[in-house]
Amino acid sequence: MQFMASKQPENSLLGPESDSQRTLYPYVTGTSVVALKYKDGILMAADMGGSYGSTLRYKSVERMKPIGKHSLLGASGEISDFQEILRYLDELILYDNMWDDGNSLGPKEVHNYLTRVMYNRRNKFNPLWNSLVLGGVKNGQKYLGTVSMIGVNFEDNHVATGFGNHLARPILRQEWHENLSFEDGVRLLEKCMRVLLYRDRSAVNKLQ
Amino acid sequence: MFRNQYDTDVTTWSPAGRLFQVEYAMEAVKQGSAAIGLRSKTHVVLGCVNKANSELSSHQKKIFKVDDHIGVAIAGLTADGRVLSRYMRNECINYSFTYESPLPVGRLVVQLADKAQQYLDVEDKRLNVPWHQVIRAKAFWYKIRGEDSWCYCALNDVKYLRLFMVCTQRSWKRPYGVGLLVAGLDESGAHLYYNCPSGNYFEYQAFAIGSRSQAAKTYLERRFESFRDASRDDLVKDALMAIRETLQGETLKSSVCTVAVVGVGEPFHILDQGTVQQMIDTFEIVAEQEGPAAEPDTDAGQEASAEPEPEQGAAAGEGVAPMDI
Repeated sequence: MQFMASKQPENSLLGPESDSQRTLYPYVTGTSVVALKYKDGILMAADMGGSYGSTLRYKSVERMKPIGKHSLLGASGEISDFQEILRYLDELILYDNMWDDGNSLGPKEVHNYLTRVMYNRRNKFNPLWNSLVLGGVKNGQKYLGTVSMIGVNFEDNHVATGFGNHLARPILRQEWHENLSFEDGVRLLEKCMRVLLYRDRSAVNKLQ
Repeated sequence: MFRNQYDTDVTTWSPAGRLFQVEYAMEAVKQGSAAIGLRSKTHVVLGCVNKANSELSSHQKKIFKVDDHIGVAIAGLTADGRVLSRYMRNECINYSFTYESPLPVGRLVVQLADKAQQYLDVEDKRLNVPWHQVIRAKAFWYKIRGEDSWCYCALNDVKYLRLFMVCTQRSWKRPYGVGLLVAGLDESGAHLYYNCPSGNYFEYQAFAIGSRSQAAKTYLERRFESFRDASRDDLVKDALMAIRETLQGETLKSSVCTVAVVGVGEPFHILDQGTVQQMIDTFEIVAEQEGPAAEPDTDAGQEASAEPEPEQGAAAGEGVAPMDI
């Protein structure tokens, strides 16, 4: 290997870095995602709207997807970047499955992986314009975390992105408690989403 | 194994379908001082015999911590072992950094095996050797002369001038001459693997490598069924007794061996000499010392069998009275 100027294979996940391809501002965006931990796991809600600037253009965008066996990913922000992230994660989960041993990537691992990816992209001045919420259950352990566009990540009992931070989290702070039942959790999330629908101009009334 | 014309470099097959260099590498493992490993459902213990070059020098380090949940014991060329443990540490750290969780042992072991195999198979490398150095030797075999050595290669090889030439020139392109006992913990429990220079790996309940390891293996074979549910301290004692088998007559002292443990709730660490000596004392029957009675189990807290080990003299075969609970 010392003889060839063998190019270290470009990390397949990170794209080319020519100036013209930097993300400067988002085009089609999704609004907030709200999530909380309940007794048996995680509940997450997001509306199905994709706004093109101030127009509510797309009304059936799925902004939440399951990842692997254990996790759920929700994103707000640029929809195309979200789809890019899904491609990265597909590759990741595929490789994980190919090992075919008793281990699988849990929500914590995926969350950290996403943090690294987001942070790396931001360092190259080519961010993935998303705020992500990642939740899941593995071996009975619940995990809920969030990663922002610039790589800030943390975990908590309830998280939200975008406007949800300002409108939904206060509600959650007051009304969340350990051992929420499924119905209570759903009701709480519905309450948050309703407030968002009233007050967030980019929200639509179709939920996922 | 006798020297023959197929053993010059690692990419030459013998007509019997053997890679002699690889087998010689495995011989190197057998020359190293003994290392043993055994596991239960929740713990893995590694032990090795300390070999020092002379009375004046300290012994070689043969047990390496790779991560909090993985450790490795080596036998063979210790230098190769060091390089490989550095590689393993790197892999573990990188995984931890990206995923914030420990690398599963099984994956590390496969990566190691692939790395070992890489050095045996270099077909995709190409080398520029000037044509005038290609000497036609026999009808179908061409002799290629390079910087400081030569080798035969088949016709189509000449066309591509494969890198196996370099294998004989560059000293690092050889199989690793070290056998690794990898002990680790992951989601699916405690594991013990053996990686050999051929690039194969196997999972074991208990294993021993190195010189005079056969004696240890015999001991382990006799007792391995009890390991699965053994307590941590019993496991360590079994390891020490297996080490004693390899010593074949020499007294077992803590200065002669090194023991390391990893288990559920217990990160990988090497036991200090004092602890090891205490463990040895609980079962060692030594004539000149006054019979060591039941140890005050300071560190072996949960060792409920603080039953005073009866020093019944020579009649008690090792491993009979104290261990069979």
